This record gives sequence, C-alpha cells and structure tokens, in this order.
Amino acid sequence: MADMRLPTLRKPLALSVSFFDRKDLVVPGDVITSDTGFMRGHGTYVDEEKLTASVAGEVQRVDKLICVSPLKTRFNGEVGDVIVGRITEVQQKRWKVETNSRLDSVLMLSSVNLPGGELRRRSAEDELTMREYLHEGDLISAEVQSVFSDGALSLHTRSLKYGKLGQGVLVQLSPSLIKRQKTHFHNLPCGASIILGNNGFVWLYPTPAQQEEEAGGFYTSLEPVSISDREVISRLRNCLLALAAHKVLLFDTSVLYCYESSLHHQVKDILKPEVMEEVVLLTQQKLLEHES
Amino acid sequence: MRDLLKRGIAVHHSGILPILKEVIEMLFSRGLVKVLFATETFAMGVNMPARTVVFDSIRKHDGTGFRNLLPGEYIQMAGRAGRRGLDATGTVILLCKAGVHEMSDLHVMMLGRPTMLQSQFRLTYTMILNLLRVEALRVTDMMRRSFSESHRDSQASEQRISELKKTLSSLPPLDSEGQLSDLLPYYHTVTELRTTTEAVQKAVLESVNGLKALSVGRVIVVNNGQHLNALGVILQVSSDSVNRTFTALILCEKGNEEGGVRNNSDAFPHLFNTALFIPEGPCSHTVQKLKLQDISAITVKTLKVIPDRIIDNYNKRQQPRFRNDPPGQAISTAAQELLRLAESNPGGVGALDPVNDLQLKSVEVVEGSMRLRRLQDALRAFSCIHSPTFGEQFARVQERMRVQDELDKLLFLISDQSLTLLPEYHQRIKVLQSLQYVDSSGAVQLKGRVACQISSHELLLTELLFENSLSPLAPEESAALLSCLVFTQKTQVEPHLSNTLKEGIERVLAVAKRIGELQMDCGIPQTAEEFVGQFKFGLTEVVYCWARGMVFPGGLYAV
Repeated sequence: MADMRLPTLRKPLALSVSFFDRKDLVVPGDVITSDTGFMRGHGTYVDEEKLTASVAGEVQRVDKLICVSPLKTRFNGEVGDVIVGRITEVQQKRWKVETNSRLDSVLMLSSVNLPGGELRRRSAEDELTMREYLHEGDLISAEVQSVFSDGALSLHTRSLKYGKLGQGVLVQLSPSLIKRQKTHFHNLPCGASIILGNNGFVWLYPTPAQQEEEAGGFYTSLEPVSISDREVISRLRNCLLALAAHKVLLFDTSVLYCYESSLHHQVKDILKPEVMEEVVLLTQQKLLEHES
Repeated sequence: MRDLLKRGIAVHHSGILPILKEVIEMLFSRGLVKVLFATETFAMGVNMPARTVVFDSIRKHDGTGFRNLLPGEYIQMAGRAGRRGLDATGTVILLCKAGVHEMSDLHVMMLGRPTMLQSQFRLTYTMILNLLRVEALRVTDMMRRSFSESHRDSQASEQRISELKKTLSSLPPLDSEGQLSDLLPYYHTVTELRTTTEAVQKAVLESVNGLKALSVGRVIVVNNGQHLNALGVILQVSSDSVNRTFTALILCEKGNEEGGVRNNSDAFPHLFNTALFIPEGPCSHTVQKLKLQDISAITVKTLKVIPDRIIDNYNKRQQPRFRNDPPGQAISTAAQELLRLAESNPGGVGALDPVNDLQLKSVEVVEGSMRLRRLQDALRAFSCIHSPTFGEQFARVQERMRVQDELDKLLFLISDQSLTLLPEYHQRIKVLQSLQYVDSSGAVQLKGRVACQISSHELLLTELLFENSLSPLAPEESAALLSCLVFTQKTQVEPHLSNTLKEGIERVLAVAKRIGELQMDCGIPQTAEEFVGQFKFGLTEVVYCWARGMVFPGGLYAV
C-alpha cells in the first residue's frame, strides 16, 4: 500500500534549543557589533561604522577577526580538503570536475597516479588515453592541492585511497553540514564505508574485503554486492538525509548513532517526517551524552 | 684558452665562463687535457678521476679565515688520484713551497676523521601544520625518515620480528585447566618477586650497614651456579671496595666440592622457596671466594669461627700430598654447626630485615621489602604449584614469555614511541592546540591555515595578524615594526621613534612574551626571554625613514 499524505505546514524546528552551544545566528542586515577594533572577514560589510552581516549564517570570531559563515553556500575549498566529485569534461591534459563550488574544479593529468603506479613524465600518448581512465560522468574522490586566484580548486589523487569510485550511493548535501576532521574516510562498524567529502557529497560503499594491491583508484570492482550490504547502505543514506534535514553536523560518530537509533524502523520509514524527528532526537541525545 | 688546450693544458676556476668550464670538463673526462689547473670546486666534483693529484698548498681561505684543509676535504680531493681501469696506482704530491709541512698538520689532515654527518632536521610549526593538513601523511612518518633516525636499522628489526612471531605461533599451547588456571599470574608473581629481591639485595649489600653485617662469622645463604640455598659462614672479607669478595665456608655434598656450574636456572625459579640445602649423602664442605651476587641472604645468626685456621687447613688439603687428610678441628666444628643450623631450620633461617635490622630507610628499600613480603604471601595462595604437570607447564610458560618479551621490545623499537624527536613533537602540538591553530582532534583551524603560509616566525606573525595590531598602522610603520623579524644584530644606539612605533614595539614584545611563556609551559626548552630576545628593533628607525622615501646616506648615521 502506498503511503500518501496531504501537505502540511512545516513545523518550526524546536530541536536546536536543546543544544548547549547556542550558535550566534544572523540574517542579512543584522548588526554584529559597533566596535571598530575588529577586522571584518567574509560575509560582512561595514555600514556607517557598524559591522553588518551580508549573508544568513553563523558568526565566527577568531581573535579580532569576525566573519559570517553562511548555512547554505557553495563549497569554498581549502588546501587539504577531501572532495567527492563528478567528471564533467575531458580537456587537454586535464579533467573538469564538478564539486558543488562556484567554479568547476580542475584535475590535472599530472596529478593522477598512472596505472601500475609508475612515475614518469606524461607523454602525448597518456593524453590521448585520458578518456580510458576517467570519462564524463565518473565519480572520483580527490584532495584539494591548491586554490587558484579566481577560487577554482586544483585537485590531485596522488594517494592510494583516492581515485575512481566504484559501486555505491552518492548523497548530495550542503557543505556547511560536514564537520572538518582529521580523516574523512571511515569504515563504519555497521558494515559499510563512508567518504564524507568536504564539499557536501557523501559516498557510501560496501567495505572492500581486502585492500587493493594496484595503484589506487584504477580497479573498480564489478562484483555483485550482497543484499545485506545494500540494506545497510540504504539505511545509512536515509539516515544522512534525516540528519541533513534537521541541520545536524555530520561526522562518523553522528552518522553511526543515527544508524543505531533507526534500527527498529524500516528503512523506507526513516524518510517520514515524524520518524525522522524521533531518530534525530535520539541521535542528538546520544551525542550529548558522548560529549559529557 | 684555445692555445693552451691545443697543447693539452687547461685552467678551471669560477672566473671562467660557464660554457668554457663545461668544455674543459668534457675534454678532461675524455682524457684530452693532460694537465689541469683547477680550484677546489672541480677537485671536489664527481666523475673526474685523474692519474696524479698535486696539492699546491695545504692551506685555504674558507671565507672567514686561513686554515689547513680538513680531513674530509683532503680525502675528497686526493681520492680522485688513480683512474679505475687505466692506472694501477694513483699518486698524490704535496708541494712544500715554504718548507716541509709540520708532521702534526699532515697527520691530522691525512689520517684524521672526516666531519661526521649530523642531521639538521628541525621540527618547525610550519612543517607540522602543513603535514597535518594532508590526510595521507602523518608527521611521525616524516620524522622517521629523517637522517637522525637512521641508526634504528628497522629492516633487521622487522626480520627478527617476523622470526619471533613464527616461533611464538609454533610453541605448544599452554594448558590452563583446573589447577593450572593461575599459571600465568604465578609466573608474573615469581618474576616480580625475583626482580624485587634482587633490587633489595643490591641495596642491602651496597649499604654501609649491610657490609658491616657481612663480617667474619656471619652465616649466609649462598645461591650461585654451584650451590643452591646452601648455608655458609664468612671467614674473610677482602678490603677491595670495588670488587669485594668474601671467603666463606659452605656446606655441600661430598663430591661436589669443586663442582661444575650446574645449569639450574630452570630448576630454581619455579620452586621459589627458601628451603635450605641439606646434603643427602655424607656432608662435606668447601671454602670458596664469593662475590656479592652469590650471597642471597644474610641471616641473623653468627658462629664463632677461627677463620685463619680454617683457611689454612683447607688450603693445605688442596695440595695433592695432603688431600686425604681428615679435616682439621676448627673446620669440622664449623661445618657441624652449619649442618645443625640447616637441619633445625629446614625452611630457612631468618634473614636480616633491611629496614629494622640494617636501618636502611631509603624509600626503595622499604617499599621493596614490603612488596616482597606481600608477594611471598601471595605465592602460597596459588593452586598451580600443586598440579602434577607443574614443572613442564612452567617451563613452557617461561619459553613463551621469553619470546614474547623480546618481541615486545623490538616492536617498541620500531614503533613511533621510540622516535628521538617524538617528545618535542608532542610539545609543539600542545602549543598549537592551546593557541587554537589545531583543534583537539588534530584538524587544522583557520589560524593554522594562515600560519602554514608563513615560513619563519609563523606564530608571532599570525598572532599579530589576528590581534589586529597591524591594520591601524600606516604602511611605513608596519614595515618598520616588521624589520625586527630580519634584524639579528645587537645595537647600542637608542633609536628615536615616534609614539605609535613605540606602542607597536610594546605590542609585538607583549605577544612574543605570551608565546614564549606558552612554549615554556608546554615543555619546550627555550625560555621566554630567549624567545623575546630574537626580535631586535635596532633597524626600526632606519626602515621607517627609508619607507617614507628618505634618500640614503641621510639615514645611515642612525645605525
């Protein structure tokens, strides 16, 4: 039986009140401070000696620097960020990758590992066989190597853990929800692995049985994935969507707690609003206990 | 040059055009240049061997002074005499233009040790921050690859580790049923007992009171390769305080007087008891010189003995002529006394208590003897000693533990914990965390990312930036202030500075002091004063004038 509902008014989010760290939220036009001793950062402007916000988001103060980081934004990359992106174009000696930022990111041919792991100067032949490695529509995981002056990112996959992604599920969320951590590759104990890209793209995939010996990213396994693995991944995907809908910061612990809290519901039920609320509430409680 | 080259002579030094230098090098390596006059640069280079090397002088100017050649330099330059495959020998000639050189100089130069290679690897904040940004690398991996860690010889250790792991898996498994269930704890207790006893013994025997107690006539318990818990009495104490030996009369089996070293290291650890040795057969005795390690306990008993007579008697009977003589009276009375003592106290004669009798009050001894008593009591409570297969199982445990210990030690050596720079790394991470450049889990924050871009004095500059101390200043004022980062000389002249500049200097020094104190708190061995002293403001006034467009040499007098 299909589950059909009538449209309802969106409930005001009462969940964030329970947080102990009240975030300083502003909307465009809100005066942040009248003190002139502060340096102004991104997302602010000075209007008649008063520092005002120009975007809707959270105020961040680092010593004397005030900036507003918006809640809904394109991905602004920093050196060292891990991203999950999709190839949009194959150009001469580079690929263009879509990473949910203002400009397409660039993946140079010299920044990828050659098959077999050899180190040599890229020849004209390598240029002609670029399409065999990555073509339009492929998903890759990469790291930001540098930022061009116009804000475009230069990526690289010079490590065995980056490269072309095989079978799995992509979830597209807002970049401001991903917590910046030491590592973004996690093997969750529930039986799947996750890559939390800083650009908001999250990749869920079955944990590989053994580590690949070849240069990473070239070998995409086409073996069929078992039903149990698929169920775990589907549940995780719905949990991610639930957490994102309630603006919960995503990192490996929060995703895991959400998974555990949702176990007594069916996978497809997690997307229903009331179930979503319950699961997220449980997750937040567990996170609070974990902190203290 | 062409005329010279046609005749097979060439000249090579830094004043010659680079393209000419390359031509000469190519000709020389092909052998077309017969005589080459060159400077040190060519002489130090690679792949240019010659048949003979002639040194015009053994002194050179190294930029600061005139000195003799270092052994390393000499070896490098003289070593290129003799071409492989073309010359049987190489010749080195030293010209003595100003008279024959001093023998000592030549000795040092030719036979001295070349300068040792020392690692100049320094952990800087910039390096740590840059490495933390990249997910794939760990800072400890980078540190491990430095030259300073090259002594660790990780390949040999890795091989040994795999060997040990194989041995460990091939050992027979331990039987831990029933009575033997506490075998492993028993082993640990026994080892701890042994080590604590040794430690307390050492302390006792090295103390003044202990040595006083080890006087003539004192009954001791001897434990060494030859005697197991045998009673003995001290006859003589050597006066050599470094290697003190004790001549003692010891009870033993007949036939075991000379005795080889019994390999009883397997036997006595597990039967860790203090049961005294009582000869089963006819009792006999021996007089031997003992070391401190052989004495395992000093008992409370003393005997009246006449040491000289005993020793003489024994030495006499060592000679083949008197070998079958019966032992003298003094010696047999002493031996009888010892035997009586052993038979009346089979479980062991009371030993001198280090704390109460010998008045040893040091913390280690008091704690050690308390621990000993506890462990000895605990020993009795174990059930595994009653098991019939105890001996064999214990031997297995010992073997397994031995392999395990060696494996653990090697694993520690190749792990991150034994890196020499690791403590400094932790200290610096602590500094970065308290300044909030890095959060508690190791992810780089905004301030850290800013500091990554700065290659020297990164902490000071980032703090100044974020404290908004540079923005209210005019460009020439900030240039003047920042000159402290590059100026390293001490000046005596007091500069005349405007008030804003003076305030700026105060602020910079305050920030530097804060950072210096934080570094000291986190354990880095550099005092705050040293850190602040790095920043010298002697050039501030000059830079200020220059930045305002003043023409030199007007400002030069200020320095």
